[in-house]
Amino acid sequence: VVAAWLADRGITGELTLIVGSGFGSDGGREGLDSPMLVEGFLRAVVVSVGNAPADATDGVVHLGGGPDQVIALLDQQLARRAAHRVPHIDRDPAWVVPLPGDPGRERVAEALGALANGHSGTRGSWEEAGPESTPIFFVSGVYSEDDHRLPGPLWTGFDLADPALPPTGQRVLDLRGGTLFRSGDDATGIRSLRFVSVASPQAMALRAEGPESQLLPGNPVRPPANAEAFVSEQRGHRSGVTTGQRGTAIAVAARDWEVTASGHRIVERLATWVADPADGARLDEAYERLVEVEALGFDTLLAEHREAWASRWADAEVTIDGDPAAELAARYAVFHLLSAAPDSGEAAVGARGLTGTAYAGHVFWDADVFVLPALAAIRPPAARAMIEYRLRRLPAARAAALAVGLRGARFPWESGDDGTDVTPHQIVGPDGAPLIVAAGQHEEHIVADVAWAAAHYASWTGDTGFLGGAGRPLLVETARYWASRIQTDTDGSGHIRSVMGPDEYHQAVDDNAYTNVMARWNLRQGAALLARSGETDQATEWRALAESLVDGWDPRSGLYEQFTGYFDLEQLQMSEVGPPPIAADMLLGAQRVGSSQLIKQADVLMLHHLVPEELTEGSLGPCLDFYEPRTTHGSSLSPAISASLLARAGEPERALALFRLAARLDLDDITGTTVDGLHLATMGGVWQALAFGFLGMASEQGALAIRPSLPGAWRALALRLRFAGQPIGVRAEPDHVTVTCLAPLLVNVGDQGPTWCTPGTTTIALGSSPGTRSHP
Amino acid sequence: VSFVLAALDNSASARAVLDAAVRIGRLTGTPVRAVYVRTDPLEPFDAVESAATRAQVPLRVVEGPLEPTLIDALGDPEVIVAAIGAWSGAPPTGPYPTGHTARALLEHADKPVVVVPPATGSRGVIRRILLPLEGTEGSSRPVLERLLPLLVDQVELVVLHVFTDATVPAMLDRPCWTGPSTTWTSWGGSFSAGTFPMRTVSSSGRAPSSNRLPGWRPTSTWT
Repeated sequence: VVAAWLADRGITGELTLIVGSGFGSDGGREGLDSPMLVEGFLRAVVVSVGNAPADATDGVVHLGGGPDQVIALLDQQLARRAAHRVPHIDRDPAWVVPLPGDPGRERVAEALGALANGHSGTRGSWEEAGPESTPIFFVSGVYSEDDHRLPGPLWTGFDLADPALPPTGQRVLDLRGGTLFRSGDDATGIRSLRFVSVASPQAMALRAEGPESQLLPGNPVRPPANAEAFVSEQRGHRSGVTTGQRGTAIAVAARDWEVTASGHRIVERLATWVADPADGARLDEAYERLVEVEALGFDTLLAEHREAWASRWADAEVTIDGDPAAELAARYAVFHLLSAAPDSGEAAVGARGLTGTAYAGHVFWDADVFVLPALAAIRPPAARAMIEYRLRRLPAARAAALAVGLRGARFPWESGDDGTDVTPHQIVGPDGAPLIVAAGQHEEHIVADVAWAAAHYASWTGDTGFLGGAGRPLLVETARYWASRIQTDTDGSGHIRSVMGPDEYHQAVDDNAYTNVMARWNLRQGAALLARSGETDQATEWRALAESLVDGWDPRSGLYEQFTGYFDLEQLQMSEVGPPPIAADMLLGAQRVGSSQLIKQADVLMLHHLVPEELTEGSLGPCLDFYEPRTTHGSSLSPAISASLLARAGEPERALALFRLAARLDLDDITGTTVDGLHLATMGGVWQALAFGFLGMASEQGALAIRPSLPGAWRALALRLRFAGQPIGVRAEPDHVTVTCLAPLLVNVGDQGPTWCTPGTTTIALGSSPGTRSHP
Repeated sequence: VSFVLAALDNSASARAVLDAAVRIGRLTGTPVRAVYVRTDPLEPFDAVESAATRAQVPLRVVEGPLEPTLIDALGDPEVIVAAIGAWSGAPPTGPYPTGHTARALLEHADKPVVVVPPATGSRGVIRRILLPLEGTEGSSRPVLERLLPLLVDQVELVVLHVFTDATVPAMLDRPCWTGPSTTWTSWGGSFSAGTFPMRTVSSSGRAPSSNRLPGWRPTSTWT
């Protein structure tokens, strides 16, 4: 009970001190204090103050000294706290990620160690950031006038007396507590701990200690590198910097406290930020907030922060028994997913979250289709905030449709602050010649992707009123767009011409199956909402239009053709090119790849992932057999989705290989682009592969379907999440599934039919061996 | 005082080596000194002396075996860069476009060595340096640690990375044919950032001048 009480507050393992006098065995009997050594305290620091060394046992430090020693130990801890020493973290290998220390990989390290709370993000750079570092502070949704996310003032910088000295120590990202810890030699090294509070979203804190002669705090807040406009000022002990201009600005205020004793310096820094695109960034307000944060103080902020993270993990924990590396990588993905979006307001979740500059922080379908489904289950308010971002940009989407002579809402391929299309339209190539960027014009599927995200959110969370209320325009206006976009031929068939599907190797194609089927789904959903509000004529028209859309289904082969003419292309497969992943467009050239059947990522198969009910039953297997050998996985979005589908199709071992690729994508910098930020969509895909692939979960008419398909190396896979408004736990083992819930929950395990789980824990045997069922 | 070492021989390449050394000296803000290894006490070296005098570069004549003496001269801690002629006499045959002396110096060098073909004419101030990089730390670190810190004059560094079947990137999220520079902005910028962990690296050339390192003008070219 005590261990659980502490764990709920983020106090685990090494953060716990257990003191007793009788841990050893006494004539074959357990010592009196041995019952304290329960599983929850497995990694606690255990000290025996008993008189005999035999009072200690394995893992117990014998100090002796009796009650006086207890007092001394507690005094030591109080003295540490009074001296504002850098707190420890629990270095549980299942929950910590050491960052690379090699200077050549510093930019990867600082992306991997980024801390964010959905509102703001700070890269994990060394405090004394040298020339190899790119420290960045971002505030979600704040873009400069050229639609690039605005770098804010930096709050983690220190000076060193000798700036030529390379950084020392090791940085460790503590996933459970949401802190970045820098270990260092007690006497000569620099140690620090920092966090971006999830309990007080505008508070950030850093404590560091090191030799007085070396550690110089310097200015607590500094302009970012390459800052084109900034204002810096000092008010008493507090410092402030504002970057940006007019409405697009970020203000950060910070204050340092220093304690120096015996040649040792301790610096404690608290910082706050203000950035309101509608109201500008007022440094005055940042100072006011700083006073509030100061009133809380570092220790309280840290305690609240750890408790808030413990609460987050309670709804999001991943456990993979038998595969600690996969478990840690999955937790790492979930950590950054939880960090990506705020719980309220609107969330502009860029392709790299708040961890780097790639894609200028623009929002793509990555957010709607890859990140949102994960957050809908592990942080529903954050998913709702992502939908709010789309809702508030409906006027821009309507204007975009109107601008091309169509109706409804056309969401842009890339968007930033105001929701207009910020996809680069033309760029200058290496030879100086202009090149057209086709994605913005042709990747129209994002219109349906936005609608799908809203519908998925409503279905998964059980927010049944959402689609008829606030979310309604996202489905109706997107359906209206497709209704005006579809061309009807004289034979009555509907077509969507000149588009690009998720497979970006083939641009400006006709009747891309993904686009058409998603549009069909969108029209049907929109029609259903219209029918509910009595607009039956329009609903009937949209349903007929949906029926008329060609979808590439070829009953003879049992395949969906990716687009018109795809089957006639050169039948090139990856076995003839090289082992995936490969950026085949770069290796073979765009023209060759475009004239072949090689595809960058799931396209037809993406339909099986998102809207299997729209497809012919039994088509997943043949489509996997056909398209997977043609998939280069040249997109970071690709491996996780394929892993999910392979698991669903009963091939968990093949799925595991792709899952590992996705889960390690950033940790091993597989793409070579992690320096510019973490691949958030991949992380969303990782969670989806676990939930929808290996656990086979789906929301089906209000019931939670669970169809596990575990690889042999996994003894069990367990997720904690929210479904239909309540926190649940689902654990799959080879022969049974365990469901934990607080309220009655309708489940369908292994297609055995709906069953009610009563509050508590329910174990359901799997009727047939997992991974052998057929799926649509 | 740090200096650029011009390793001269008694051939026509001496002028080219001196010219290259002087231009490197401007780039690094250091003087140039020449060395000539006299292997035969009776060997005249008028041409070398004359070339050094014309270039206003002090010449040191050292007697001894050619390669060990040059390697020893290169080991002077005040030498920051050396320039040497690629060959003398007839161009070398075989796989290497350098003679044995230049190769010996390269193999023993722990600092940058510039190998100058004899036909190289004077081209004024060096404004651009081509950096072929394979992307590994082992190949880029010497450039980063040994070459770039020497550059004090404004210079454009052109990073050249040639993909092969084995090194083509695993993933490129943006389709490359729709816009190499958008692709390169992400991948190329990351490549250069990872290869050259310097704050000002950019493949777009938009980094403001205020944060440039001396000698650094961020431009990347990819092929």
